[in-house]
Amino acid sequence: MRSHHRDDADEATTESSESRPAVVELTDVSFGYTSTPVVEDISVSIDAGEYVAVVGPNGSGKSTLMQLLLGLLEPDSGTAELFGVDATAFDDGARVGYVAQRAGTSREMPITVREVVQMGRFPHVGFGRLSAADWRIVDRAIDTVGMSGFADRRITQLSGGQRQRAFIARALAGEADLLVLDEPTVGVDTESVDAFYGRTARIAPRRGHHRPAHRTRPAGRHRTRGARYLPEPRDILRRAIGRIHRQCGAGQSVRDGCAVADRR
Amino acid sequence: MTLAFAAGGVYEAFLPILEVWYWLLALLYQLTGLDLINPEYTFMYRAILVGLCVGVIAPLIGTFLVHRQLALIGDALAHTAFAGVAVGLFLNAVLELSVSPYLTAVVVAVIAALLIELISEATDAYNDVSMAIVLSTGFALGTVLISLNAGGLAVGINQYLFGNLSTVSAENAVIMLGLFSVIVGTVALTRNQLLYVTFDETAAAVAGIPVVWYNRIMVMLTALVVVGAMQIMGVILVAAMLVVPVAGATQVSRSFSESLLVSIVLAELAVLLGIGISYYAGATAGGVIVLVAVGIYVLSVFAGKVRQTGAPDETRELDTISQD
Repeated sequence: MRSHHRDDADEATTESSESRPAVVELTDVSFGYTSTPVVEDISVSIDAGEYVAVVGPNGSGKSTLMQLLLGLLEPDSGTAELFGVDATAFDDGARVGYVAQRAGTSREMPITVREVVQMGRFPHVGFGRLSAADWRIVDRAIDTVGMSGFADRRITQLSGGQRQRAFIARALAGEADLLVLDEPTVGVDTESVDAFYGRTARIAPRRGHHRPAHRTRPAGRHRTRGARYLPEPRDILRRAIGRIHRQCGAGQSVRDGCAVADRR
Repeated sequence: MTLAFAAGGVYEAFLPILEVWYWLLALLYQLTGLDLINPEYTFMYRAILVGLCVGVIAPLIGTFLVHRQLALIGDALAHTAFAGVAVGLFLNAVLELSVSPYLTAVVVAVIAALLIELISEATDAYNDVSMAIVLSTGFALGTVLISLNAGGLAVGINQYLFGNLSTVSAENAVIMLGLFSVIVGTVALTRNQLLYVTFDETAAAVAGIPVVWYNRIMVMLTALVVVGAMQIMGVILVAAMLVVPVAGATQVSRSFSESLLVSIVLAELAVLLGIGISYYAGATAGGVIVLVAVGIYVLSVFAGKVRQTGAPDETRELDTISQD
C-alpha cells in the first residue's frame, strides 16, 4: 500500500502496517436489500494514511458500500472489518467519523450548529461534559467549514448546503482515524466543494506524518469534481466498482437502473 | 419479601423530603395566606408536589420523544398503564392483596413500552398502526378487568381516568419522588447519548452508541413518566404534558438546551395555574392543566412568529471552507 509518510523510511512504514490491521478490510462482501444484490463480491483493503474515493453512477451501491464498511449493514456473505474488528461489533466511535448522504433531515428540532458539531465530541467524553479543550475543537471545526458566523443559528433555518457544512464540521470535530464521507458536499457551493476536497486531500498525508497514530481519510465521494484532488486514485476501488453495480443484462442500459461494468 | 423491605426502605428515605415540603408550604401559607395552600388540606400539598414533578419529567422526556416524531407513544403507554391499574385493582379484589394500582401500572406500562420497542425493532419503524393497536388493547384489557369485578370497583375508576388532586396519598407522592429521581438521574447521565440518538440515529450508531438500548431506555422512561403523571392528569390527558409544552418551547427556542429549559418552565406554569384555577373553580385539574398548556402553546406560536418577523436576522457572511 502506498504511504504518505514522506519522511519515514519505507521499511518502517511497511513494518508498522504489518503489525496493525487495515483500517477497512472487506472480504468477498455481498449485500442486497432484496434478493437482488446491490453489492457483490467486494474485497477492499484500506490502510492508514490512505485517501480513497468511490466513484460510480447513482444507484450503483456506493452508499450501501459505505454502510457495510461502517457496520451499519451486515453483509449477506463475506466479512467487513473495521480496525481489525468485525464492523457490526465495532464500537469505538471516537475512531470513526461519518457524514451521511443528505444527513440534514427536515425535522423541526430546535438545535444550533454548535450543538450539532459538539456531538462530534460525544464519543470522546462518554457520559461526561465537554471540556474547554473539547469546545475549542468544536469551534475550530465550525471555523474550518466557514460557519463561525452561524454557530448559534438554528439548524432548521439554514440552507441545505449550510446544513451539510455543519455535518462536515461535526465529523471533523470527532478527530477520527477514519472519515467516511458519503456525498458530503451535496448542496454545497462549487467554490467550497473545491476547497473542501482540497482540504481533505491534504489531511491524510499531514495527519499521517504528524501522528504515528495514523490518521486516515478514506473519503467516499462520487463527485468527479472532488476526485481530481485525490493524491492518487486507488485503482483497487476503481476495479471493485465494476462489481458493485448490479450488472446490466442483455439489452439493458444504465437507464434500466443497472450499470455496465466496464472498469477494467 | 426482600422487595417489600427494600420498597419500605425507599419509602422511609423519601418521607423526610415530604415533611420538609409540608413545612415549606405551611411557611408560604403564613406569608401569603393563599387558601390554596391552607395547611388543613395537606392533600393539596402533595398534589402540588406531584404536579411540580410532572412539570419537570414530562417535558424532559417529551422533548426527546417529540423530536423523534414519537408524540403518540405517550398516549399508547397511558392506555396500557390503565390496564395496569385494572390489573392491580383486580388482584387486590381477587387475592385480597393491597398492592398500589400505580405499582402494577408501572410494571404493565414498562412491559408494554418494551413490547412497542421490540415491535419497532422487528419492523424497522415505529408506526402509528402498531401504536394504535397497543393503545386499544391496553384500554380494552383495562375495561374488561374492571367490569369483571364491577361492584365496588367502578366507583374508583374515575380518579385513574381523569386524575384527582384529592386522592394523592403520601405513598403516591413518595412513588412520584422515586420516579422523579430515576428519570432525572437517567437523563442527566445519558443526555449526550439521548441527544445524539434523537437527532441523528445513524451517526449515533457510527459514533459507537448502542442505539437500540437507548431507545429501550427512552420508552421505559416514558412509561414511568406516564404512570407518575397519571395521578393528577388521568390516563386520557397524560400524554398532553409530554407533547404540548415541548411544542410550545420549540416555537420560541433556538437551541436544544434552551428548548429543554423553556418546555419545563411552560409545563410548570401550566401545572401551577391549572391546579390553582381548578381548585378555585372546582373543576378537574387534569383538564384545566391541559387547557392552560394549550393556551400557553398558542401564545408561544405567536411569540415565535413575532420573534421571527420582528427581528430580522442580521446578515452573516458565509466563509468558504478553509483550505488549511
